[in-house]
Amino acid sequence: MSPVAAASIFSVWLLVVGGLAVYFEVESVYCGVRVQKLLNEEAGLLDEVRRLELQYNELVSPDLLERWLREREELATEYLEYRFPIPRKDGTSAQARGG
Amino acid sequence: MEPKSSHEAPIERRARVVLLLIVGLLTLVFGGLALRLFWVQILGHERFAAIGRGMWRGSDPVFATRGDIRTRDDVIVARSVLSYEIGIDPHRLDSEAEVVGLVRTIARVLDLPAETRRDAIRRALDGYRLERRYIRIARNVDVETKDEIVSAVRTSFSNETLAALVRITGSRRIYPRGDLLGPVVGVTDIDGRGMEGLELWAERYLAHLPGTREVRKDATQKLRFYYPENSGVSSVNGWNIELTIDSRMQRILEEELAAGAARYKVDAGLGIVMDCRSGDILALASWPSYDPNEFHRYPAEERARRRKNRVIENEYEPGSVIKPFVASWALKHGLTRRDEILWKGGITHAFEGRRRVTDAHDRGPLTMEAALYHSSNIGLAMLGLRLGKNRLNEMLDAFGLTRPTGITLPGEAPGTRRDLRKWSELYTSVSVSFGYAVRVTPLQLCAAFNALVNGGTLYRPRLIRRATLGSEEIVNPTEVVGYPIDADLSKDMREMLLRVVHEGTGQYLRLPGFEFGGKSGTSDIGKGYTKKDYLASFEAFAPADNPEIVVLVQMERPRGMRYYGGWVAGPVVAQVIRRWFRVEGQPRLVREGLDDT
Repeated sequence: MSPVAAASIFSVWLLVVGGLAVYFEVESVYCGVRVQKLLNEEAGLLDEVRRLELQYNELVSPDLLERWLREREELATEYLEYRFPIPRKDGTSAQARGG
Repeated sequence: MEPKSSHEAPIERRARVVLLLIVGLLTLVFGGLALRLFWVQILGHERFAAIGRGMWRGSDPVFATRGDIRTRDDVIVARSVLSYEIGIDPHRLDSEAEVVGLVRTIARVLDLPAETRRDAIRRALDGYRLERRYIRIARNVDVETKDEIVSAVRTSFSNETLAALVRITGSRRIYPRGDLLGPVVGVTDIDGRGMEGLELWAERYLAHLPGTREVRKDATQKLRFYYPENSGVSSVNGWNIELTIDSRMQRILEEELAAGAARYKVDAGLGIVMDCRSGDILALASWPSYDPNEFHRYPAEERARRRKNRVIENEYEPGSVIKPFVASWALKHGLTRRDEILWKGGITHAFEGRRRVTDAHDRGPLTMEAALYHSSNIGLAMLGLRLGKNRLNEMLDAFGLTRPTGITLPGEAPGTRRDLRKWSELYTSVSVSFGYAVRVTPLQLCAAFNALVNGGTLYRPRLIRRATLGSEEIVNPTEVVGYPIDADLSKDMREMLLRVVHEGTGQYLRLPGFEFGGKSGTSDIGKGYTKKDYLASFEAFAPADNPEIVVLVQMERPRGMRYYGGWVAGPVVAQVIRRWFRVEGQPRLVREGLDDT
């Protein structure tokens, strides 16, 4: 192989390798940007899941059910005491009240 | 060979000079460059390398969360959520007008007060003049507000200005249940470090470590991207803590305590519910309480009043609620029998002609059992004298009274009693036998009462069940402190205390179709025993035959018509038991309309 031909092949090889190196570097940056975006979104999504868990937790909480039950009971008691007053020893009736 | 022309020699000479000049110039240039390279690469290597790194490398925070606090039935009472710190980079802005405009836009969305807004503008302008890279405007901004700010800035300004808006990821503590369990859970400061309650005690478990992630930046410093070779520090979440608290029981106790406090016009109140078989605290309430979400907004005086966890921080002379312990100790040592006639009747008696003790009512001759359920000071003082100071001290030790329980909360008071050398057999022993001259915390009293009725096992009160982080777990086991009495004596005590609710000072608390026992107490807590300030207490266990829970409620300084423990604290206890066991029908005093104050 003549030196000119060898030099030509080497130049082309160098061009291809250089081009590939640039291409991969650019791709690496693009991937890095995408990964960075996903990592940033991850924290937000995790937080959203945690907030949804809080909402769900509130919906199924025994303490809130208990409060709801007490409110219903108070309403029922008030109604019953209004309809059927409790007689007192002095002849009057007890005031309506909850609990 | 032809001779050279006459004008060739000067040309050659000139060319040589020019060549020399060029070579000399090039040598100087390259020599200068070599020197500069030596300066940059060798002498100033560290400095320039750092500047270079700073231009293309940066670090982003990695989000981590402080641990959750949950009840045993999985209700979340404290959690950290994502929040942002909002600031500006004045270096990226072109004029003072732009700085002011940007800060005003942020302040408008955040609805900052005029004073805070002016302060932020002043600091931003100072930062602009001094070429600062970051000026903080607000902290703990939630995600929605942060998005609103970005949107407002994008609408009003160019992309260059938007780049000057800095958003730093962080976390903010929220308490989804508001004031439920407030003084127990506590609160964190603005930096997320515990400063009250469990948040403070469990700081080493709950605390998180935010990480950092190295990123690369482009020449404009705007684009930040991940690079696989970059290093970083992993974030570590805090441990989640699971309490022994039952949210339903806590709700019941807090509601009934608040209702009782309003009805009997008390200055303060507290309540504890404990699991008889483990010493687990099912509910723990102190009234008035606070909402940890609003903690920093209360006026200082109001905050000081609300922040106190009276269950562990206060020491009281307990009054008659100590009598069952004295009675049990006298029975244990064979110094009395349940049917022994202790007192012939009357409302006053002077021991050794000097120490005068008074009862509220004359109920005629009293057996030991009747003295207990009618809460006779004279009867119990007789037992106290029979026991003597050594045995009374032994009793206090055995039941853990005046000794810190070791609860996992900060600020527990130890309780106090008189030094044995200064203990007067006549005065101190008599006083202690009906609950004076000794100061105990409500938690000590509740744990001791549990031992009295649960078969004789004194448990250490447990508030934290376990801590978890991923698959790892730290269990806080149930701990037995001692066995002050045996199971038979405990059964006797339950029978006697049941009669308190059947015939004694708690007879108006009786629930239809459900049996529970207890003991009332009323003590004068005014300075100098002025008979104006009382502590009304009631301790109870339920169900009577096989106790599952013990309840203690204490009300400080009732200002209504009634102040006795059976009438002020008792109804709260009865309502707690009624609601917990879903008993149909109200306590006797409600059924008969006697609970109006």
